[in-house]
Amino acid sequence: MRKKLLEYKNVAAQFHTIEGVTNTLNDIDLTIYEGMSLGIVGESGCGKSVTARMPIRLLPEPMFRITKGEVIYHRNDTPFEVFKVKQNGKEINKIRGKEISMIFQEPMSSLSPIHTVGSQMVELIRQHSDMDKKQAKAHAIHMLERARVPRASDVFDDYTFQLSGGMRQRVMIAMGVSCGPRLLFADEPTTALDVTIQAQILDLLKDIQREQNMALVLITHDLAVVANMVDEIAVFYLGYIVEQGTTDQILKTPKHPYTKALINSIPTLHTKEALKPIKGSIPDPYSKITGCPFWMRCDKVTDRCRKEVPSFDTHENDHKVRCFEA
Amino acid sequence: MDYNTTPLLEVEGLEMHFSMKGGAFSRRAGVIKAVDGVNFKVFPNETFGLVGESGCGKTTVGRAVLKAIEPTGGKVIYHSKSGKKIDLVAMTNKELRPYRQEVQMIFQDPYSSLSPRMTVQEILEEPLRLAGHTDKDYLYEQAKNMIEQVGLRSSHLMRYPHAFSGGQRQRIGIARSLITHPRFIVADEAVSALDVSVQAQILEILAELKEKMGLSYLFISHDLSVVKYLCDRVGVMYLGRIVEVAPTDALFNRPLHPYSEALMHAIPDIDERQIRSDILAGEIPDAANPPPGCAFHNRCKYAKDKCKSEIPALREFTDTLDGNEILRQSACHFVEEIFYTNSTN
Repeated sequence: MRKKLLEYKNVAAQFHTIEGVTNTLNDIDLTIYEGMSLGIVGESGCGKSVTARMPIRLLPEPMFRITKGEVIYHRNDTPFEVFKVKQNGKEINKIRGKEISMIFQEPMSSLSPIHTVGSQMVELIRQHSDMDKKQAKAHAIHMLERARVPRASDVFDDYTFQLSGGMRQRVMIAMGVSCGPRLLFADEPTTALDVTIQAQILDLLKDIQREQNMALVLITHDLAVVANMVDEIAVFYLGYIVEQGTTDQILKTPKHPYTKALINSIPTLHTKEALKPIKGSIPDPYSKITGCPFWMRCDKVTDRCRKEVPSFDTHENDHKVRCFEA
Repeated sequence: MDYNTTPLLEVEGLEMHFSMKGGAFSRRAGVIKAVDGVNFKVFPNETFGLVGESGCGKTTVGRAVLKAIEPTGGKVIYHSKSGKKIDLVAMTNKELRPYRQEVQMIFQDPYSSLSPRMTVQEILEEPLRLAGHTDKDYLYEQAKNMIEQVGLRSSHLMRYPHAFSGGQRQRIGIARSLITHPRFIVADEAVSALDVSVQAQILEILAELKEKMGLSYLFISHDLSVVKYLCDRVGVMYLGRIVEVAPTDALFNRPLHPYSEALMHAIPDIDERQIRSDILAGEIPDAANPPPGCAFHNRCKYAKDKCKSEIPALREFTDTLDGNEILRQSACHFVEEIFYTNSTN
């Protein structure tokens, strides 16, 4: 039996802005187990980043509100509800960066430009442990080495703007895993990088996950990136999970029309078939949609799809799909 | 594709060197060779792809070809509609003006490349106005025709760009580039900013309009799978030089340069699991301080002593593709040794 780490129980969430209210997440039901690797895939505005930021409360509250459901973190077998505590209170600070950590797409904007790599890492490490400065420095350099940063003790004294994009992302990863997190969210970690560097970084993430036995959630818009990286995939569309299953289930036997269409619209190196683009575009986040979120762009749309939201049903071998036709 | 006809565009020895100024506060002075002796041809109704990683000079080539920046050396020979053979680099901007309608550009970012203060109609009519057209009915007719060609409706003409999604904006950008009925288009990362489902739509439009309007593209992208989908021939760039040119299928069947090979292995693919040993180590060198000899030698698994001292020339090779003999080029000292001896096919 796999041990639960983080649970989203029928979560619905909204952003209240001047322009209106968005239904950012709807009925998100997702469990992350210890040591697993999960890919969250979707296009812009599907709610994938919000899902990742929720458990460590990185969202602008009270603009961001949970309207339904709960997010439960299983800490030392005592589950506790993340949104029941203060946003920057003691409980969250113990988890954020230590037990649940995150790395971002653009390392330049998430690292401080006026502190050296070392001072940022030491600060983080000392915050979450009782190491003294010397021990923290040794640990930071050790982590940089594990992230395969060449000349780690020199880079320790560098500023982030002195490093290349790939090297910054390595520093980011070293920081992210320096406190031995149980769960690491990687939000588009390679989108800003060149392909040859992307391959190096993905390889590194995989190694570190295995060595530390931590859970990894890889968030990306690119199905091909997760194909090589994760055991399970959840496909998001417009704030709903439309399909979830093992990597093979999603890529080889997709059931939801959106997943199928997404796979068909990616040009790959090994196929010669013509692309089948999905018609239309992603609806405006402020628009209110009734029925299935995908019906406007779906080929198999029926009257029922326009009126009712399909439930998230479990098919054989735990393959979950949100579609009437599947 | 008929490669024996007169090419539309011939780029010969194109150079773009930026000088870094030395001063009291800057530590180094020197020259960055962003583009260093690039040669290629684009034939009528052909899509020529230019791929490479950041800093390889692909965008600079695209801009230099259109003289959006002034190249520091080389020639860009353009065979105009009227049959004249002109060198774009040697001409002044004023002399170039009549040809501006024939060569156009599609930009990467659909958000910053459309003026937020102009309606779509004004955006589309502007290139025609600059070309001297003043008849309002004609302008409207052209704009209406063009917006429908890219899959939008004529009612969209009255709106401002902010009312459109990224994909729709990119369609407007394409319509603006095509409204003067150009023959040659430079598309710089034209689909990179779009979501995958929308990216496929734009690729379809580009392919369709190419056939309909007899266009030629210089398609610049970092994404090899997109390039494979759209292009007839591809040039691979590394640190300011072209390292390989080949018809797309030939390149993807069997690359003839270690860098192209590594690049292909680095691309994640849905159908194929990655082989870890093929991951390319190291990073792209600093363009201000390139390694001597072959610029790729410090990351190349085949590198020998010769690679460290001699810059390899772009050489021609014959190959067969679908039973036809084709020409392709590679800039590696050891093409024969690496790619011809142990090949089984």
